[in-house]
Amino acid sequence: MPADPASPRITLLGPQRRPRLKSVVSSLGLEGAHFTTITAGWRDRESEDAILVEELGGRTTNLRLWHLMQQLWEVDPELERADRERRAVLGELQELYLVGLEKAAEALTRITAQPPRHAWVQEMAVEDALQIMRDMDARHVERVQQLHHDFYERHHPQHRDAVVTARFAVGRAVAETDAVVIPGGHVGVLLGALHVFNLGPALADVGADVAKVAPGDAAPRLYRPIIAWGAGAMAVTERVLLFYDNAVVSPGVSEMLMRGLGLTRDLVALPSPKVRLDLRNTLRMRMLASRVAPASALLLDEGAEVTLDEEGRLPAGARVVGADGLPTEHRPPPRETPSDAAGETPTDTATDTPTDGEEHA
Amino acid sequence: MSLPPAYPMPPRHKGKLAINLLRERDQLTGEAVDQFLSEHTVPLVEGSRCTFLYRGDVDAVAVRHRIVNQPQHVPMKRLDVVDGATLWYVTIELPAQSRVEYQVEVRVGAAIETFNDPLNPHVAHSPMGSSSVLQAAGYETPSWVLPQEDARPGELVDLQFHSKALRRTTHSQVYLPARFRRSSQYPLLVVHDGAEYITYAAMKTVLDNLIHNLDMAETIVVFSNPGDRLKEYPNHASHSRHVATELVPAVESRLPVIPRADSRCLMGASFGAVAALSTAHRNPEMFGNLFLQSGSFVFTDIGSDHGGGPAFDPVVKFVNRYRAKPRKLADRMFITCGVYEPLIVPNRSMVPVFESTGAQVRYVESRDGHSWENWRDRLRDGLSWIFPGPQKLVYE
Repeated sequence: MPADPASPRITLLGPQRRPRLKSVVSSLGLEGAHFTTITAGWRDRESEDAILVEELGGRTTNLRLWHLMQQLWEVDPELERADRERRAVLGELQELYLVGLEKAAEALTRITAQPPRHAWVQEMAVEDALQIMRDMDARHVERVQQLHHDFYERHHPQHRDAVVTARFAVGRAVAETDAVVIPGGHVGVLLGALHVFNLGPALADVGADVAKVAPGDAAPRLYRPIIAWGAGAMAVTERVLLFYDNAVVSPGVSEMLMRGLGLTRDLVALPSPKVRLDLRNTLRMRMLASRVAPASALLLDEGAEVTLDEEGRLPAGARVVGADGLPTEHRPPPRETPSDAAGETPTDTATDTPTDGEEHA
Repeated sequence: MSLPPAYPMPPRHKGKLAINLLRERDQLTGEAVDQFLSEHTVPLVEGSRCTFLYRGDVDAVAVRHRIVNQPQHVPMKRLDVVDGATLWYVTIELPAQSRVEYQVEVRVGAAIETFNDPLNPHVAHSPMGSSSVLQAAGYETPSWVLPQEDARPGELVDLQFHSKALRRTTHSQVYLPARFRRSSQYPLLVVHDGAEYITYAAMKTVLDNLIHNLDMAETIVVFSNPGDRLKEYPNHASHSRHVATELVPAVESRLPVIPRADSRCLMGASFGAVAALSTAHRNPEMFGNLFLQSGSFVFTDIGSDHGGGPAFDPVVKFVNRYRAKPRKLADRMFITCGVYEPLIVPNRSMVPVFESTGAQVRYVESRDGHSWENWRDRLRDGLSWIFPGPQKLVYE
């Protein structure tokens, strides 16, 4: 579907090991466009983007955020130390949250392994365990967000000269292009770079003081189309879920990392699910779908191309994990009217604590 | 936490064994035996049954394997050949995925000679020398121990300096992961018997692959080497002092390693595992991780007669003392042992002792023996547990 310049969309792709970006760009009507590329997830290989540039037709500006970040740490060692400490605390938070999750997942396995004497009793026990996991997920994401908030409050990276200069340059570079491409890589590094250089407001109208987003609210309006895959696809969503069922030392359970940029609504991106997920294990998949609900777990395998609607939601027919744990086609739920949603608990957004348009990384 | 082994059933073999078909022939000729041997790899593996062969005009032949708690001397039966050397054979049953080390024992008159199987090219190495190795049904050499074309190689650099503690010049090699950067910080792994790990356990290749595949964190690895191994490794104060006050500080002063216990690991196999354990014991809270393979943790419950010879005296003294008063030596311990080696008993016995100290223990057994290939095949499990890679964070 050709892109409508008046209504830029996000297009999420499957892995691009065998690149098909050229045809995607063509189908979106973006041939000849000038692209911003964000390859910070590739870390020190950030600049090795020859194939990407070729696929996009040659007119690209790589923001080189990873490189900029290294420069930032060099000129501001105090900030670098503070950021390192923040990452250490994040690591510990993640580790301990995972210990709890593993116990809950183990309980689920034990509960479902028992032959039910009364199916409804077992189902209640399953739901209890899942609710515990959902609560832990929500608390973890909030704690991580609070940690980021405290970091910004205490160290004011947004007011440091080097950061201000870099953000200005990055923002201007993005403004001069027609579309943005965010490939995969290390999702933590990518998100860190996106936050440090405040890409949220550069990509969409995230608002200056949006404290909360109510259910049914659309995603922020994009300034230009975004094409993303892998870690890039995860980074633009509301919440980033880490998953890898086939790891040598598998954590045994998927885990929330943190909020993403929040440019989508009601979806969690799962890149390369055939490689990374035990799709045949319907219990695991059911658990995953239930934990991210009401958001949909979007399967982004080889060849996938999903263009979200103008509100940042999944279109009908996108491949998602169904409530029964099986891959299925997405059916958009009936829409609530604003009055229906009044009084509901606010949902996640990456823009819930800005004070001056800053993304609180 | 201990892991129960999850072994598959061996594939079923249908029909008669090849050796039995050969035996059914009316007259077995040398030519038929030649053809038989050229058509089969030896030992023959047919489902769970493995047939050992030897060819020669001798008085008796036996397989001498090293499976603990099994008769280790298995006589072969003779099969007369009308116009050639006698063919000897014996069939034993082995569980799936087993690797068994063995030698052939031949008697001519009163003279007995033991050597590696001349019909089997597979050889395993251990600190006690080499032996033939049988790979039973289901065993496959892991792909990650072989060089992978797309894996960027790390670099091995020499590290030599005079050790006051050991009163000798120490020779180590330091592995720097591919794309090593001085601006980054890396965990530190110190490996005992480093040269053997590189030579016989393909550890450099394994590190290259595991790091490339994101299974293991980029890590700086010191491959240290003993002088007199039997003196320095079994709970030797000078060795411990060397590691803690010379080797680690030398690496920390030269390379960007994370100076924290949770980012340090000591590793070793056999006596090397004792060296790792005793070094951690003598330097509390310095090493947060231990990777111990087939540790020679011999101990006695009654008296001091351990039957292991004088080399084990300091080991037994150390382990007995530790068992009497266990304390946490590392937060995380990855322990492996082959179920066919005699050390399986002490290793199994030590796991609950380590767990009782509050350490997080992961214990893995394999149907394997006391050899570098066993230790090689467990490297991925151990290294990716000790220093996990960013696999769960990278999405292409």
